Amino acid sequence: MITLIRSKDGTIKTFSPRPFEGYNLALGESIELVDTTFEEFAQRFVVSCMGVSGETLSVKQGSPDLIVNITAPGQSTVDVDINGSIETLTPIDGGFQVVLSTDVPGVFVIQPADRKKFCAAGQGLLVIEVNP
Amino acid sequence: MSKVIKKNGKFILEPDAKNLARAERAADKERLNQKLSDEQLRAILQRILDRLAALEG
Repeated sequence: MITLIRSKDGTIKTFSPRPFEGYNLALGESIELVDTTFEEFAQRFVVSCMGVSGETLSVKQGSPDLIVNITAPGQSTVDVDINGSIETLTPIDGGFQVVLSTDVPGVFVIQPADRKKFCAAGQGLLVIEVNP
Repeated sequence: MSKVIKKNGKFILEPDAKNLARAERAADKERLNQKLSDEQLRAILQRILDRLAALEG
C-alpha cells in the first residue's frame, strides 16, 4: 500500500512508500491510498536519456541529437509535456521516444502531460541542460 | 523556460534573447578589438542589455 498526495487541482504531487497518516497537508491537498508497491508506481512513467534518469543531464550545444526514452507499461499511447508543448507518442520497440536537438542552448523539461495519472517526480521528470 | 518547436521530427528550443546574447559573448569581446560601425555597436549594446535584463529578472 502506498500513499499519493494530490494537489488542490488533483495532480499527483508526490507519493510515499507507506500509509502516511502524519502528513501535514497544504490547503486543498488530499491523500489517497493505492494498493500497489512504491517500485511499481515509480515505474509507471519513467523518462531517461543516455542512461540518465531522475537527475539533471547536461550536454554541450551541438552534441548529437538526444534520444529520450519513456517507458509507461501497459499504455498504448502516452502524452508527454516538453517545455509546455504536449506530444502524443506511439510505441517504438515497446517504449516511447522523443528526439531533441542540441542546436540551441537552453533547458528541456520532459514530464508526463497527464499529471493526474502520472507523477512528475523522481524518474517521471527529466531536465536536460544544453550548454553553450 | 524556453518554448520548443518540432521540426523534422525533432524538438528544438526556440532561441531567446538571453541565450543568443550569451552565445555571442566571446565573439563580442573579439569585436571590441576592431573598428566597429554604429550598427555593430548597437548590436553589442543590445546583447549587453539583454543579458542585464536576464540578470535582473
